[in-house]
Amino acid sequence: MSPRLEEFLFAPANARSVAALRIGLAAVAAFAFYPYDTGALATLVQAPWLVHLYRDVIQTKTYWLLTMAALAAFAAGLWSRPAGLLAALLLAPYVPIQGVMISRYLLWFAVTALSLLCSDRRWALRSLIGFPQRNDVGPTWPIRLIQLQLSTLYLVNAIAKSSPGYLSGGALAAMSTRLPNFLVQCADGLFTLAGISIPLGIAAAATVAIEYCLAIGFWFPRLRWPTAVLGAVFHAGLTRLITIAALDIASVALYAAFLLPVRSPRARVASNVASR
Amino acid sequence: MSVSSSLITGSRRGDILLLLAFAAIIVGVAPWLPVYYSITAFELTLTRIETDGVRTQVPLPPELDFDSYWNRTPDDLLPRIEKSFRSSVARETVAHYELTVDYSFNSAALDQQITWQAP
Repeated sequence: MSPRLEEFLFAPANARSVAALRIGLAAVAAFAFYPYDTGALATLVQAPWLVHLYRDVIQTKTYWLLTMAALAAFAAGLWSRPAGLLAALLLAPYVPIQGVMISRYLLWFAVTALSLLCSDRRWALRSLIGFPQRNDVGPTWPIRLIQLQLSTLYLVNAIAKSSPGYLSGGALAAMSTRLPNFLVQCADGLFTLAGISIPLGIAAAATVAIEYCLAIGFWFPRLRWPTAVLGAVFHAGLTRLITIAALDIASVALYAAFLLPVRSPRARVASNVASR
Repeated sequence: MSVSSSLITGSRRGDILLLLAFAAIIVGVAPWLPVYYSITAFELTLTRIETDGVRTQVPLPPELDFDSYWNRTPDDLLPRIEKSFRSSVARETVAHYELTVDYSFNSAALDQQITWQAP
């Protein structure tokens, strides 16, 4: 493994960033995984015994409260690794619910990856009750995975939309008249936002260009904040166009994995010394 | 100077395997992540044809109570509709039924049409 890749994946993770991600993602997940008792299983997994399992066990208040308790323990830094892994295990069955699959998958993946790190030593109840605060939470690669997952989301969406049918605006026109969660009608070939009418082809092309920017921009340190602002504006605009469950919030919440320092200051100092 | 820190599994090999397993999840799930990138818009019309040739438009049975959109291509959609149509009228012994699907892919025009008759 090259030294740069070694450092990219195995440098010590920043303990404060990991703690902030742990708390923030747990809060967003609690929001995105509610309500627990609505929605049908995805078509792929509609075996009768599974439908019964969901109705009688998983989509019940008891199961959901247990899941939230594990998530709360993870957020509070009470043995965050086992609590986080338990939360991920309990959250997993909620992922394949139609209508919310992608936002829940994103957050489930992030909670699972983050629970691999020992982040219960900073900004955690354990440290308040006397356990020492330590900086060695683990390597950076779980955070790199969260970053990679976010970029993959934008990239595959941009690629899927790079088709003549989408870029012409025809798909958006049809969706606006057919899909119940579209908030605007664009059958006349124009998309109107904040009083400005834009031809649908231009709106579609802009959407695709923005998704490519969001897939790539976060990987360039100088472009991180501009990319995050672009993403926040993009998702805020989308909420005026379409209701897509918690996907906007889940996506923007994961920007923190890029915006917070990933490596610990100790690693940055060591890296600078090594490069001299 | 090395910048490596404590590992998650206790061994570099274990960490790399775990990392690759997570990366495989990212790659494996990727095809399901695109949203709102294509649509097949369609409308169904069901006609009952009596033995004397009289045609009457009739309401759709529950088997054909689809939403009027499909997130993938017509090639995925049309066989499903045809199968539902044929099963919904399979017990009919007197009249025939004709199902007309007006549809379009990535367009609101509904400018394509396919028709089936059964039984």
